[in-house]
Amino acid sequence: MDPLEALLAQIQGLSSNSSDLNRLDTVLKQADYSLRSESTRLAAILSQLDPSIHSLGYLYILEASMTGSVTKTQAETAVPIVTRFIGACSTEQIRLAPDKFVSVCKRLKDQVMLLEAPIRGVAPLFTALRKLQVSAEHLTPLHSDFLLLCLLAKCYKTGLSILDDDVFEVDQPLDLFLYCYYGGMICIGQKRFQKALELLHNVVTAPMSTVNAVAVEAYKKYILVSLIRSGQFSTNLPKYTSSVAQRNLKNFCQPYIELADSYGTGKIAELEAYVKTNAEKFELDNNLGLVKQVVSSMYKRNIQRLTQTYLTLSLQDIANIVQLNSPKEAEMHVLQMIQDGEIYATINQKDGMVRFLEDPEQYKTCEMIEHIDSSIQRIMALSRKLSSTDEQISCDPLYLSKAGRERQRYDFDDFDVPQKFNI
Amino acid sequence: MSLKCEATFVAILREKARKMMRAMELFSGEMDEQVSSMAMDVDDVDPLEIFAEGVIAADNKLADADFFNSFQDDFDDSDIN
Repeated sequence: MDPLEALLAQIQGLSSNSSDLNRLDTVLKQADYSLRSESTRLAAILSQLDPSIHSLGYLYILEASMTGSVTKTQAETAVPIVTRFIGACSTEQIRLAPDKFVSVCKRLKDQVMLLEAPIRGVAPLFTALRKLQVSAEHLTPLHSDFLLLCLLAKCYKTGLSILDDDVFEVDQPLDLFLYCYYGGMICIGQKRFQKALELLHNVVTAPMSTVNAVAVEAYKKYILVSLIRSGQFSTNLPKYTSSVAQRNLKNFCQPYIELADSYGTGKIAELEAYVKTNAEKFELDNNLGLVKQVVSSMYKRNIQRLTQTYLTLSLQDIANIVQLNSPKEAEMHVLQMIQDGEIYATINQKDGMVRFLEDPEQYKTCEMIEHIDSSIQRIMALSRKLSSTDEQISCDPLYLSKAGRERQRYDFDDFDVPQKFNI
Repeated sequence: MSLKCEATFVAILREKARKMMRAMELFSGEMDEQVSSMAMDVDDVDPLEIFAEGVIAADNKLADADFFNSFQDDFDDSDIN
């Protein structure tokens, strides 16, 4: 019997229960290499399989058929097949060959990008990552690809849907870097600057033995978002940041650090002049738009400062103090800030006066109490998680063998173990 | 208990004792800020230096320099309105 036909029969016969599937997995692993040499016949084999019933076999054959580069025409044929497979496949079966599944999904990503239609990959990759995840805490290699396609397709809200999950398990460090960097960009697009800062901060402070390009780009955006969000930036990184990042990140981001210094003077003309002089550098990094938001934020910052000194002020006075071109421009800024909840004020359009108000939040509504309570519950859960992780690491033989070599300070003679018994 | 198990057990005890001593230092009043009852051991030593397997590469070489970052600049608010 032809080997491929025999394999097809085995796939069709061994896909019904878990013990058969384990046998099938072994058979498929052995046949994997030879499948790639039969690439011209694989499409015909696929048409005889049901992606929902024969998911494991379908996956192996699909993955083997997708090796090598493809033309746009070939991609146009392949994308619907892969999309249908991802939607229909059995989660239990594809988890038996997670690397193959990731490979197929990454090829889908490449092909929708080749077709310049990233939106065609957004829904399939979302389905794929949810099927691959063993829990909501598990970060898969597909998370970053999904966010990448969301960014290219400008589906920011769709990308946000996975960013609220707390991540505790990571397969590869690069997965985390890219997830946090792309995730930070998604949040910037949705103007969720606090969340963006948290994600970018994770990239910058993640362990690294050499300076990572993703961390460099994240640091640039981190500086800009810090200025937009809080009007200030400090080059001091937390103690747990790697020494490599502490020593080197600033060197790759000098124009951004100088922008932050200029912002710190509070002088809008100086800031605008600096941006104009260095516009090309920011544009090269695709950060010019965000830099312009930094400049706008200074106007907002200056208007916010006024609320601490004045109860009422005319739009003309606001324009003069904040160095805006006209009262109309001042009105637009104030209106936007009221809408965004950045200040509390009313505008009397009859006499052009702005009345600054106190924050009406009394922190005693049911909604606020619920919000505080859920935050407390979340922090308690995180604290328990942290303690449990600390315990696990403390008992990890690899950690103990490394830490034991470095820890010279506490040498207990009573616990001295002869060298030959050291791990 | 086998010799290897005993060595592992002793290493675990040694690590726990080291952490207890460190926690006692923290609670002795030398630190100004309030510490959590579950004090995490924050060391001056860079953890990566403990786990580094070899010489760290030159500082000006960027890892993962080929990562995809060619996005259109979509954050210019002046496009809106």
